[in-house]
Amino acid sequence: MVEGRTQVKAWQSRILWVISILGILLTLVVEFLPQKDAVEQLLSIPTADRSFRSQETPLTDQERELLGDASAIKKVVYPHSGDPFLFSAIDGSRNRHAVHDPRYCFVGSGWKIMGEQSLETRRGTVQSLILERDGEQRHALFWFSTPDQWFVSPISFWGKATARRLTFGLAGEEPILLVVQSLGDQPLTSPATLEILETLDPWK
Amino acid sequence: MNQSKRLDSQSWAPSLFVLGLCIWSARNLSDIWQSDVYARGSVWIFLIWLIPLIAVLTRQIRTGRWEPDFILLILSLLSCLIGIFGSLNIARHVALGLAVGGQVSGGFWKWLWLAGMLSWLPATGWLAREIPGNGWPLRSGLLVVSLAFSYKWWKGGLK
Repeated sequence: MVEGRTQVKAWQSRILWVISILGILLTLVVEFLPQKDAVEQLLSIPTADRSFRSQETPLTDQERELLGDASAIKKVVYPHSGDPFLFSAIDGSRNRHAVHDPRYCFVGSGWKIMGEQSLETRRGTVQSLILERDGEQRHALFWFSTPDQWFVSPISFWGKATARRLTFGLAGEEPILLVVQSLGDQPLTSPATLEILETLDPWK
Repeated sequence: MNQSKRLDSQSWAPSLFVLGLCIWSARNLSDIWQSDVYARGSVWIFLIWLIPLIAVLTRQIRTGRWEPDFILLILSLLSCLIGIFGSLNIARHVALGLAVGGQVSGGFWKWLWLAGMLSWLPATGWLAREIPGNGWPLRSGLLVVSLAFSYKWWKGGLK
């Protein structure tokens, strides 16, 4: 009886060793395999159109540190009719953890989320936030963009990004996080602004 | 006797190896517990959550019945590998909890204590962000329930 138990234990031990060692070897292989990213998509974002022009803004040192190996662009967009806003796109193919729920960042940098709602657009859903800090109000939008759709659920993002990695890219493209912030207190939900955002979509 | 000792080391070496792998995989927890607004301070909950395990582990060592839980260790390895390959923090953190729990044997009540890892997982804070108090009442409640279950686990081991 006791011998039977110990035999099972030894067998289980071997299974643990095999999975552990295979896991470490696979981890090393995956680490050294080049990952396909979406840098080309970020670079293909238009800088101007009939309804706007834009100017790229350098990332701050803190932003570079947070992004690590992830790729990102940040630009100020000047609509021909309307107030300018800040537009950021982050591709986490090389550092998935650089992409997270943007509400973390807003709350972490002292903003209070006063209200939020989901908006349906032609490409999918975007999340609209009303932020307040030191008596100042700002508006923000965020969503995740794939070639197929826009969506706002960070859990869906985790699912898609994880499935993509576990299938070595066969499960689809890496969703790109897009964040828009007003520079004043103007709302960002006008049809004209949403049309500009469709033009700025990296997967367009 | 010698055979028994040799088999024991065969059991313990991989269980400690799995624990080490999961600690390495979840090494970002310390940063998250310090910087994440929804998880800040959860290190204390984690440490309190560990107390029953340390108590049971100590008793099992004293009575010579120290035995790892291989089902939990296998689950922790799978979760750890999903976390590493999928670059998924929650899987890495769950793997750590399972690997810690897998260091000692136990039955039904241990599984209920183990479910108390929800009290320190950073993901819980994010999911509970709408709850007043940044999820702290929920975390504390989960910890208390987990500790209550661990008492039944401790008592069960005395029989």
